[in-house]
Amino acid sequence: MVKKKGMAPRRSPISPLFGPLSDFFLFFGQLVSLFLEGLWFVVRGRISVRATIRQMGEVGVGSLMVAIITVGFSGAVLALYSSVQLLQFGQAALAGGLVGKSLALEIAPVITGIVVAARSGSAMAAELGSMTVTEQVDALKTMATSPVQYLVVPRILATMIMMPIVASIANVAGLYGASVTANLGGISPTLFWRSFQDIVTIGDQLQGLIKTIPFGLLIALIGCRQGLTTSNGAQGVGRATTSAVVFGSMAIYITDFFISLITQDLTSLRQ
Amino acid sequence: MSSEPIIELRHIHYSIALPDGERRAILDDVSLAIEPGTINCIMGTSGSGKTTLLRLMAGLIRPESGEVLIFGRDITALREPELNKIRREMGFVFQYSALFDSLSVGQNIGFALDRQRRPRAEIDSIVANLLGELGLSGLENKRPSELSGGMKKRVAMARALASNPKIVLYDEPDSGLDPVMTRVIDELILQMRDEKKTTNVVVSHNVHSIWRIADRVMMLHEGQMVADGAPREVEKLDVPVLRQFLEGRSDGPILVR
Ligand SMILES: Nc1ncnc2c1ncn2[C@@H]1O[C@H](COP(=O)(O)OP(=O)(O)OP(=O)(O)O)[C@@H](O)[C@H]1O
Ligand SMILES: [Mg+2]
Repeated sequence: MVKKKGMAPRRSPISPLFGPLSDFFLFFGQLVSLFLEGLWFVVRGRISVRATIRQMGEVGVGSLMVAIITVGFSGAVLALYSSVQLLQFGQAALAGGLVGKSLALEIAPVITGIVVAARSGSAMAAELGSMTVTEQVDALKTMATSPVQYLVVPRILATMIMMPIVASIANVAGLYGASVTANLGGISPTLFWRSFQDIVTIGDQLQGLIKTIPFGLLIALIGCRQGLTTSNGAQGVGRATTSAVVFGSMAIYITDFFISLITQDLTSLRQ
Repeated sequence: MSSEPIIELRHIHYSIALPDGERRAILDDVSLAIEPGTINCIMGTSGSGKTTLLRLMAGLIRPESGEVLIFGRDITALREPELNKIRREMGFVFQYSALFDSLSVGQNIGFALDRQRRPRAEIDSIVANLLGELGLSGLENKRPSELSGGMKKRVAMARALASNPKIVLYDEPDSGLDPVMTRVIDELILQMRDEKKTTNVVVSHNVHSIWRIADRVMMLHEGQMVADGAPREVEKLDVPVLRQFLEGRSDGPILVR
């Protein structure tokens, strides 16, 4: 076929340096524009309740058991280490509070986020990716249906709604796991729960749950973006799926850091 | 033929970026005008740009330069909501069917109608009618994955025709069909033209079926239009690639890769 030269912008010698950076800005820009496009459908009330509920089921069924098990065991391990340390310093009464606070603020939200990214974010990338390479997304467009409205918005809403629910159930599992190992380490359940009640506030619980909402947004947004930009057939679908998990997990840790930074500053100022 | 064209392409250039930074021209200065209520067949070797041409007409891709006029409006600069108004008058049969895996056959065919919030009973009867016409009665509740390739193709046709479009774009509607079914499809396209006055653009390799249905025949070769006219005229044209294509010879100017 005819080849034309000189139509593409020439690569400058320093472009290898800027390559990854411009890729990052391109990725970020596409996420923002996908978000804004989705938001535009939401503010106009163009939401499919049926599709959103179905997606909530997918996210819940896919992630709940895994989140319960991973956060449950993380709570158990955390309690094991901290009860041994705290007993050494004679501070056993702090165990329930310390572990409970870590679970509520950090462990339950972040691990649930990772689990949902691995289960649901990847599933979204795979499903939308295979729809893209088999031209189902194009078929939607030819039938005057926006893929963002029909596919992306329900997934984002469902993940944002399910994240706090799954995280709070996982949090309870983590506490239960923690109380069991604390007991093995010599801290009675009564002591553990009293300390939990004394130290962990409703505010802590809420703060932990609220930050799972942006996590849910990012997981679904990244999963959908990776899916919709898939090319190169089955191989591309595989790549989209993996990258949805990798980028989703990174996004969770990065946002978690910034959210924690902001919220911690505010609370310490107040004291 | 004197009426205003319903589809018009003017000096379309379309190219893709290659990994090495160069660009490869897929369509190179293609112009065509299509009269309403006609059947227009586009033939050409594999990779000659036929699908690309249909995708341009549906606004799925935009040309690098040139105009795509549908109902007299240039769609190359239209935003999605405006484009969707035009797409509601169009049906597109994809080369590999592109049925929605997650929906049943019936939901696939009724998709556009369902999006327009037409009453359930009306949708069901339209779906049942189309399935009957295409020899697929009773398959409403099957999943696309349970169908053969030829059945999928017919479901894809039913889906494109369900909302009664003014323009139908068919990408190889008869690929993967047996001769009997090919005939059925040909007759359906003729019937759409005669009864519903649709304008049809049919990409096909099947010379027999093209000569059976076409009001007009075009041939694309390496991104350029090498023949365009009524079947009787095109038959006689002395264009080497066209001759080779029509006679199905392996020797000639068409590179066999
Ligand atoms: N997204 C794309 N990425 C890379 N190359 C593409 C893309 N789309 C089309 N092409 C190339 O453009 C050329 C024309 O493609 P097109 O699908 O229009 O061909 P076609 O005439 O429909 O062929 P066929 O009869 O095999 O379906 C091909 O050489 C193809 O490799
Ligand atoms: Mg093709």
